[in-house]
Amino acid sequence: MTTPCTNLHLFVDGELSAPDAEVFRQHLGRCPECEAGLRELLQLELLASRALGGSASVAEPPPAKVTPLRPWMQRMSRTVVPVALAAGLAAVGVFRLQTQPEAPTDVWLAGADVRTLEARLSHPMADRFRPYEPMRGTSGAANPLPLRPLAELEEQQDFRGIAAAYALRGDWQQAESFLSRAPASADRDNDRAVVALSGQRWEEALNLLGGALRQEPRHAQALWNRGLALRGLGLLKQAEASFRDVASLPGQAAGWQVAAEKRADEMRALRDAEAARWQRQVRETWAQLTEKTADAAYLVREQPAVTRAALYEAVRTATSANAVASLLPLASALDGLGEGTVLQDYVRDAASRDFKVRAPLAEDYARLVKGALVPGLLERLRVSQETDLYVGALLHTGEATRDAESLKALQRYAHGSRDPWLNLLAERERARSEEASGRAANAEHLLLATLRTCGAYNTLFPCAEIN
Amino acid sequence: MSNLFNRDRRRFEAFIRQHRPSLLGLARRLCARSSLEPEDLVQETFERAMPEFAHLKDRTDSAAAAWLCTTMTNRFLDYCRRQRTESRGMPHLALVQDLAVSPEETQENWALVSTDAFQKAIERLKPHLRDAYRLHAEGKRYNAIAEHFNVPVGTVGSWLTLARRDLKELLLPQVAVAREQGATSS
Repeated sequence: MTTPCTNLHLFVDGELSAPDAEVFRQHLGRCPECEAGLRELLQLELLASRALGGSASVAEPPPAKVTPLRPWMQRMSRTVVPVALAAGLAAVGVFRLQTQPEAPTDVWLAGADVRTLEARLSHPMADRFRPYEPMRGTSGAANPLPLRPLAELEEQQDFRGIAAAYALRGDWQQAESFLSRAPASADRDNDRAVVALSGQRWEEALNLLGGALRQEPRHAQALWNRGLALRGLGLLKQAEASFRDVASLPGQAAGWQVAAEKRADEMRALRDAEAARWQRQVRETWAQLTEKTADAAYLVREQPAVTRAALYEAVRTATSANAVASLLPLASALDGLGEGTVLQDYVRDAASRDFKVRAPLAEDYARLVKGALVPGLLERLRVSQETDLYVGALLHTGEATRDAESLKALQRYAHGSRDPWLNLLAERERARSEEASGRAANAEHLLLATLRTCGAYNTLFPCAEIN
Repeated sequence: MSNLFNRDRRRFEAFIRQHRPSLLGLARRLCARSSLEPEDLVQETFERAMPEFAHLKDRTDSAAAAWLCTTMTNRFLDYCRRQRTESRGMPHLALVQDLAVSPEETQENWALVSTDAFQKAIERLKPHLRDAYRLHAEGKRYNAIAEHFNVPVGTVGSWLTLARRDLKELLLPQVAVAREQGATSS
């Protein structure tokens, strides 16, 4: 009886019948001796083929059928390989590659009727307008890169073009490595920002885009991408402005103009909706607190940020020391979420005021919270000792963003209170006053810093309100 | 203007042109009567060579060929194991056994054998073994060789087996010498 091991040479020489060859291949997978024998034998045969010139078995002609290289192409696009070599393989490797479509426009998916990348790349071929449709599933692999045109691009040192081709397929690692070879330019910074956006690295993207826009203030793609980065950071007002800038640029495809306008409108709508929702929530909670119908434990647990904002309003609008003092348990519960006792201190301080003076001001302040400004209220509050009411009124009216003295008063009070949220709000008002004075870059810088601080408090504060 | 890209590509193209025919010859024999495409096996082998090319390009032809051979053999063995697992519907458990010669050692040994050494070795075979092996290396099938010598097909198989055994014995001492030279010269 012959064991499969005796068939090794016959197998390597292609002399086994189909079933025997199949049996031997299965045997190979579990026989270490045959595996070692196969390795040895193949080395010898390869050497013989090289030494004797013949290719040891050119007996069969090459197969006439053309097999698709898809799986290979897909693997290639997933691994980082030197493109030059890939192109070499593509050129020499096989005739089969030529069956792949290689029209240069395929490199940038020009045939697609939608774009799946929300950001805009600087390469003109990659920036043709098509309606945006978010990618569903993993269709990126369905568009393998044609390697030969890619090789030609590399030959022409069009690294941004290559990076764009990879970016459009979601291969950010390759895109990034080619961008690092491209010469410095606003375009390159823009494309690097697109890579950052893909990883939701909003601030990094914003920095790169800032650089690009300093070089070319009317860089359409950079302005568009800036809108995306700002939106990611929650700076919807700034995002809106950036998209409006894109829409106003002359000499671009009408599609982009319309799309930018639409995005700007969306940012505005989103901002309005969020602000309205926040105000409604705060007002509802404030009403519950003043009417004593609030479930304090639930509020503190489920919506601490809204409750905090409502607590300030409840204290400011209370017309008696008792009413203020009744908020103490809630204040201490909210303080318990973070550190310190700022809210309890505030409640105690407010409860100790003279309510003969404070109550009428508190009543007018309550009207302001409901949306009606009693004429002269700001001035009455300013000269009163009820600074917390004054500060509340400044925040409601936005006066501190227009008047430097008011802003200083707000900052002084916030600082003195040691209340981090009030300090964040004061910073926000400062940023807005910068913006109102035409220093938009300063404003953005301040807002970003404030957002970072706010983010550090985790969910304690409504950071969206910084926007 | 120096173009790194072009230079790399040309070198890799040359590398493929040099090694592809003999690899493809081996691959066709391995893949005969199976669903595996020899071109795929070779293509995968060069694909794996790409990230290694920085090292491969500076090695001797024999060393590069030995590397490619090992890589292709690995790809093929993977395929065999996968087939086996699929056909039996059970997970593959790697067999951990001490091989007489490890894959790395095999590769290192053959990396040191030049084509000149091989040509000298084949001249020292017994005439009928030498001639049979030459015909085989030219791509002749067993029955064609059997006809040539007017012997049964089975005899051709054993002649080739003997020729290979002798070639190995003739070449392996050379490996030992080359190693020693390498050791003394370094």
